[in-house]
Amino acid sequence: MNRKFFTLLLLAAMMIAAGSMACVNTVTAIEITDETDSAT
Amino acid sequence: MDPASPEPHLSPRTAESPSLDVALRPNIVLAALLTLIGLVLTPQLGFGLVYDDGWTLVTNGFLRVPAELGALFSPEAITRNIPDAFRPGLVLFDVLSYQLLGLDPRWHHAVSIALHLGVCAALAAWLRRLGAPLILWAATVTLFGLLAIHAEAIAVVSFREDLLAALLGLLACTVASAAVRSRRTWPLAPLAALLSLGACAMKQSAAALPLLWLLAEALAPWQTRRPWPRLLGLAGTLLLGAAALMAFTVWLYGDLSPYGAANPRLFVTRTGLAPVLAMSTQIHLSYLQQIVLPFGLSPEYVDAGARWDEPATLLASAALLSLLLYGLTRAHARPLACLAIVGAFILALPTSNLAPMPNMRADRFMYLPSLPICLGLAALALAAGRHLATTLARPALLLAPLAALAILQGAVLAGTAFNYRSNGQLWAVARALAPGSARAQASTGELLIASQDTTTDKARRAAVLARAEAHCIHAERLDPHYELPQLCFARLAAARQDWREARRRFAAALTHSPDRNARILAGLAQTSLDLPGHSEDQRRQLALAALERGLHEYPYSPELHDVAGQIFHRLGDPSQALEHYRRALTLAPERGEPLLAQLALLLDLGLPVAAKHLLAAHPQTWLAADPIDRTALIARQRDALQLFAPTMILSADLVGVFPNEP
Repeated sequence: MNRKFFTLLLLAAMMIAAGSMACVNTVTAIEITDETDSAT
Repeated sequence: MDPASPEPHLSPRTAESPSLDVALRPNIVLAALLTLIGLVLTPQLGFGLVYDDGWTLVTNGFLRVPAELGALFSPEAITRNIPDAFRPGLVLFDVLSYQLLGLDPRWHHAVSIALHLGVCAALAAWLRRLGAPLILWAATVTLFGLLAIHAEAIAVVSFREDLLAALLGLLACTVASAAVRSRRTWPLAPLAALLSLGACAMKQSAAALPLLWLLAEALAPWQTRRPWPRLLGLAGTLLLGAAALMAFTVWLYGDLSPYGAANPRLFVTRTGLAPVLAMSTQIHLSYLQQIVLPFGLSPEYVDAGARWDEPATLLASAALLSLLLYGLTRAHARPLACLAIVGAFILALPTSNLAPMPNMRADRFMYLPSLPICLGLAALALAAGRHLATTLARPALLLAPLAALAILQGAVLAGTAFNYRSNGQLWAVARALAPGSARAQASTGELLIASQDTTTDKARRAAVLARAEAHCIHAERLDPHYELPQLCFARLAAARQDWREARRRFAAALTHSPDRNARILAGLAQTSLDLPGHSEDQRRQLALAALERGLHEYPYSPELHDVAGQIFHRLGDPSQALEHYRRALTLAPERGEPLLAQLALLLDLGLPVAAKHLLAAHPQTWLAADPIDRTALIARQRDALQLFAPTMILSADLVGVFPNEP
């Protein structure tokens, strides 16, 4: 039972990790870093 | 029954309790579930301080002077405008966490995650104490821990008020449930009252938790009900804690609401209560949808009223009323359903807009009310699983609906949390999801302007400022009576060195803003000193008047003390300037500006050796300051050494203090 339970949790964690990538908002953040004076 | 017992069959009322022969140890199950929830939240350790963190943590000087904590429990808390003074427990926690962790966002996010895990563990402890079977409490904890609508409450550090209130409130419920089952009730009762008081001192909405406790104990879905006198006595004890905090609020503010009846931030003062309550019915049906099916979550919502005869209001009211009636009428036959539905209504009451609030809607408001909903959802998912397992003769399908729901919620939780990783991301998402929000438009404008402070590329600067101006105009059109659009214009004018317009806009912001005016008054004082068309004496008087008001009303604002230092520095009053620079550095040791300004003042006074000692005492602040300003100061200090202390050149050179200086 223990093994099944932990396998289920592991699978859930992997599916959540994969699913979260699809749920991240793709709106571009406001550009608040100013690179005018940086090396690049 | 031993609350830790894994045998759900011993429960006298198992009609709604999913039964499963479980060979798992409860503590191992709980530890594994907390590990899963913790893993899902781990990316938040890389997030910054956003939203209200600026006001309550970053620029909150009160956290840096623990010796003055006594002011928090006196009317001085109001006159000195201590942020969140009506949540004294939260302020104490913030002082403690700041003193221990500084401003490192990683540690503060770790605290928020730990608090959420603590809430999950406390929820499990209470449900076990109530006699819930292992499979049900574990399913409830899984759903609550991974619920997507909790992203805001967990990912924004300053919203840990919800987590702290839930943690202490659930611990109070657990202790009260232990007390009601114990032969010696009263030794535990004061502890329960104290925890309840602590919960309400974190956030007043925890005052509804004692009613949930009474409902759960009265319905007793898994055990026989305890005697009524005991239940009512302990519920009264829990309510004592809530009453004590409310009495404190009334004593402090003269009212149960800390916001004041005529506060223009409250939408209800603009439209009246009826349209707000009509919209609130729609909002609460949306909350329910967001909890069950997690889409439409947002860091920003636009306050608006509604009519009671609108179809949306009628439908939402009918749906909520039907749900409530179902819960109430099924109390005897389906106590678990009653607990989930009526419990959610009870916990949603404090944020239901019956009492005026500055935001009519926010995802974080559902942190506590989602608790009984998760219990109901878990029971439903397990019932569906049981049906599937029986119909298809596949026992493994028992947990399938629950696992699907938990994975969906967990994935959306982890994805949604990324909206809060930085202010740039937060306001971009807020603008996209709530384009009618004046706050989102004005905050975007201010962020763009702030990003151009040190830009030397004129063309790029002009383009970005033009973009910012569009956001300021849009924000003002959306809400002409709100201070943030005026602040946006004021910062824009200051960036363009149009001091007259900047001052006019700062003054306009002040007329619209009922509180949190420290930065407006600082801007007003700063721009007054450069006002064209006024004599030097007039400019001086205007600046000092704004400064005097600011320092009187916001003595813990590091920004105001910094500006005071700059103004007295320019007006040729070094002793006052030094005093304010020192206070600014005490109130925000992380800010580089007051340190650099104080160093410049010491160099102006011909004290390069004192400058070196000051710098050596604040290495972290110095290294965090702007490198261009630092380099300029090093050059100035060398010149000053040659002029005023040539014999000290070797020992007092700043390069000797920091070998890696540019």
